Amino acid sequence: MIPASTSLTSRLLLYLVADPAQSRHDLPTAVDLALYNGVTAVQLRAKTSTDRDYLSLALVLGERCRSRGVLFLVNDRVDIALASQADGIHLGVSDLPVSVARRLLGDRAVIGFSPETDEQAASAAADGASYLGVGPVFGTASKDDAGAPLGLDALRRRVEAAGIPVIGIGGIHAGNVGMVTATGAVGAAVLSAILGDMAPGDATRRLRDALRPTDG
Amino acid sequence: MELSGAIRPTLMLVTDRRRSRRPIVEAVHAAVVGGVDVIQIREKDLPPLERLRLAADIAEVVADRAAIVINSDIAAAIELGLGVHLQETDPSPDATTRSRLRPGVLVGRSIHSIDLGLLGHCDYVLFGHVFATVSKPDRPPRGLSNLQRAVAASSYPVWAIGGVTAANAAQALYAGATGIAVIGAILDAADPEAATRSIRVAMDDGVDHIARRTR
Repeated sequence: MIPASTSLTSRLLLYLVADPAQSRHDLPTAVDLALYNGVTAVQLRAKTSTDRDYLSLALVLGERCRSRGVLFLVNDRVDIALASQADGIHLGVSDLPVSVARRLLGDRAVIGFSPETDEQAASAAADGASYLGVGPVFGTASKDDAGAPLGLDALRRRVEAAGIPVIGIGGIHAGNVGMVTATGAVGAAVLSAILGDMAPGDATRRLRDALRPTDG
Repeated sequence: MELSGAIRPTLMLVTDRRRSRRPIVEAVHAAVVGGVDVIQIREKDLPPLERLRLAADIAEVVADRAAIVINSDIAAAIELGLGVHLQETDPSPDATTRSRLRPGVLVGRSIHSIDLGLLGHCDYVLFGHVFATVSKPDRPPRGLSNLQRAVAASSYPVWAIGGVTAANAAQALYAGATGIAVIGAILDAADPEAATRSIRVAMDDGVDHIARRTR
């Protein structure tokens, strides 16, 4: 449950996509280290896992996120989101429609959506999306079907059209995350910048440091 | 022989939680109060996250009173802002990895032969085992003459490890070691703080003796 006092926007600042197939370390360990060091949201994405493994990971990660007040979302699978009492779900254009997920999960669920066009970005809020994940902002190796990089201008355009919070995703690391939030995106989603690092906690700290507002 | 201005030799405690008579975090705390300068967290059998947690607990009780190095686990060193102790065969961290260590932390390495080879920069090397020790029951000790040769061959400070106690610490210093590392001499003791103090006294006496001899 998200405490009512904490807005969704601040929960989306540093968003970890937790994919067991792409973690250099045991995933719960890496997520623990990321949680200690300041990720604000975790999305479990376990597309190659069996349903059983997906659910048990969701239960483990969901518990750890809840105990630290961190937003916990499940990629694509409404059933696993429900079974693990996740805060919500993240959907792509070929997953269940946002409106259907909203009906199934209720008003309080956080529903993220990854639009592939400016039009989809502009209409997602009306369908019931809570936030958008827009990318790939930069080139990425973490998602093989991600397509060509959108760039920062296209991200800014979708931020302006969305009317709901937007996070950037794709190829983001401590060296460029500041440019992502400079577009008006409320946060950044990362995968390999944390899970591919030898020291996921330290990598998280570096991202947080880069996201800290600078004086002047 | 010229004595450097920094006369106080270094005393390192290498942790072994299974050997320690007292709970390891408590023993480390006592050793730091007793005068240990460097803690080497070994505990190689622990899964990484548990070792990391133990290291965090140790770092908390040690605070800034002693330096800490963690054995072969550069990721943990980076996570916790600690130094790292490399095994003889560990590769030297590359520049990128090294740049992620907290500035000023110690980087050391174990060596077992006189042939020091290309170590990469070290703040110290541990040479041993110098004396017979229950930690290495099946191999003969290298002895003081080999310690002396390692000191002569090394461009880094050499600290002696292996069977070092209050009774023989001074001999290791006479052989040229600028520090010693112990496990059992502190962890086997019912009172690790007192055990540390007696090693410290033996080291200080050894240094005084060297100073008189070379005057």
